[in-house]
Amino acid sequence: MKKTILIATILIIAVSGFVFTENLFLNGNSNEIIETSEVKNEEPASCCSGEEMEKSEMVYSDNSIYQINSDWKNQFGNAVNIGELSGKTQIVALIFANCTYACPLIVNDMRNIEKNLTDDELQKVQFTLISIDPERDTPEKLKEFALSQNLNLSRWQLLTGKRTDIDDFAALIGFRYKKENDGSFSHSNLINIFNEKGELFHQHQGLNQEISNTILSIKKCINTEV
Amino acid sequence: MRTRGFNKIKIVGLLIVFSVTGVYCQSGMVKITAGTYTPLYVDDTTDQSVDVDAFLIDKYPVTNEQFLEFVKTNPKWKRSEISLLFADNSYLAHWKSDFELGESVNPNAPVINISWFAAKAFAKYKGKRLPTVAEWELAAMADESEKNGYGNPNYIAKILKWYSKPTPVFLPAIGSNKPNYYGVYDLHGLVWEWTADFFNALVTGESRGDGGINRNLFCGSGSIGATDFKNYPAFMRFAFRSSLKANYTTSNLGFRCAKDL
Repeated sequence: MKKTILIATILIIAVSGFVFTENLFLNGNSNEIIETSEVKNEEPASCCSGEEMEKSEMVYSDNSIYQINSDWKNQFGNAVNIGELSGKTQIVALIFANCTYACPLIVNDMRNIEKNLTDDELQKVQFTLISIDPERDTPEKLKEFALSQNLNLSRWQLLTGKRTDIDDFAALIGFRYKKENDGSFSHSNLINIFNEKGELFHQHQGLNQEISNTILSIKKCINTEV
Repeated sequence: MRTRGFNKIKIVGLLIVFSVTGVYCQSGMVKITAGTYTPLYVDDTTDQSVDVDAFLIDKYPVTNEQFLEFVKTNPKWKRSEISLLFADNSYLAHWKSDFELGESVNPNAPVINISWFAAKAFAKYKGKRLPTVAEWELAAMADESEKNGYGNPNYIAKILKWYSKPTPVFLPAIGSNKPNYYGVYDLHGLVWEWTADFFNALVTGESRGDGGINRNLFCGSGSIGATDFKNYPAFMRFAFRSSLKANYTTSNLGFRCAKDL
């Protein structure tokens, strides 16, 4: 009995002693510790070229969609942070590669936009297709889709990502979609124009709609200093 | 010696029991068994019913107090700093300030004036997620005694009665109504709740031609395709979800969390 009490007391003293000294130690160095942890927070998880570092530290405007800071993969399987879309006027649609009806029409509308921009303007835009079907749309599948649609991959990129990030992106632009039991999707038909800061500038709604206003809007977006 | 040994075992046993119940209570969730959710409308071409795996759902909606704790630990979600993209102007408007509920707010009432993004962030912080529409509807089908209460006209009448009442200025605490079959409280009768995929309620401009699904769902001809004419509350929830945007916040919309099993 006495032995047990003795052992217990020793244990308590040892534990509290340890906690106490640790506190002292931590207090003495607290500034340093906080500083280190702050620096760590700013660093992206996987690092990075200088250019990427710069982007991850960028502070986006209050209306910039790039605040969601999500990670995607392009048609070559390369990682793309959403922030890397900044700096150009983005023409973005959400699609899925197995789509037989609406998506090819949307892509066609986007190709029409492409044809109506000057070389100079084309330097300042990027066409981005985001898949809403990440289970089936692997980077390889997206590359195949790009080839089948004759997309110029110096200007076009196709992204696939995590469901939760797709939902966030969709929610931000008011894009509605629903997976059907046959594996296809019902979805809004939207072409979204973002300025170089990632602020939504214009939305083109519906299929086979007059596209000239959207083209004018894109030209305005490209030529507006933000 | 012998009795002491026995006591030790008893104490250890009790400790285990306490910690297990502690974990259980802390999680505050109940299991909803696997089932099928059939949306209220029928598309002629495809089967719309959704098989739902068993999952866990919060017994109660998230309260002001719980959300305040989240905002304190995640200050980027405080009212004064939130981007309009993620929550509109009435985000947490009923609170006194960023980190104070104020006297008129019951800490134990469901948190309202919450956007989808804010609800999602809270769920993630708790290691949970928002329930899908199918999951929420499956849990909400149950009345006090049965998994599917929609056969019971009194149950639907009760829900409708709540829908017809204006939201009280001061919301009561969670758990003041009786739990349903699964032991879940307040799915009906307190606040509307966010779902993970509220945006799957397609109303306009979707891929199958503008107005197609829309007409099937809402207009006179559309209700011919409905699976359950009597379930008017389900139509109302559908309409409500269709009207939402992810940054919307209103004074009768809160949320609860779910989790995979």
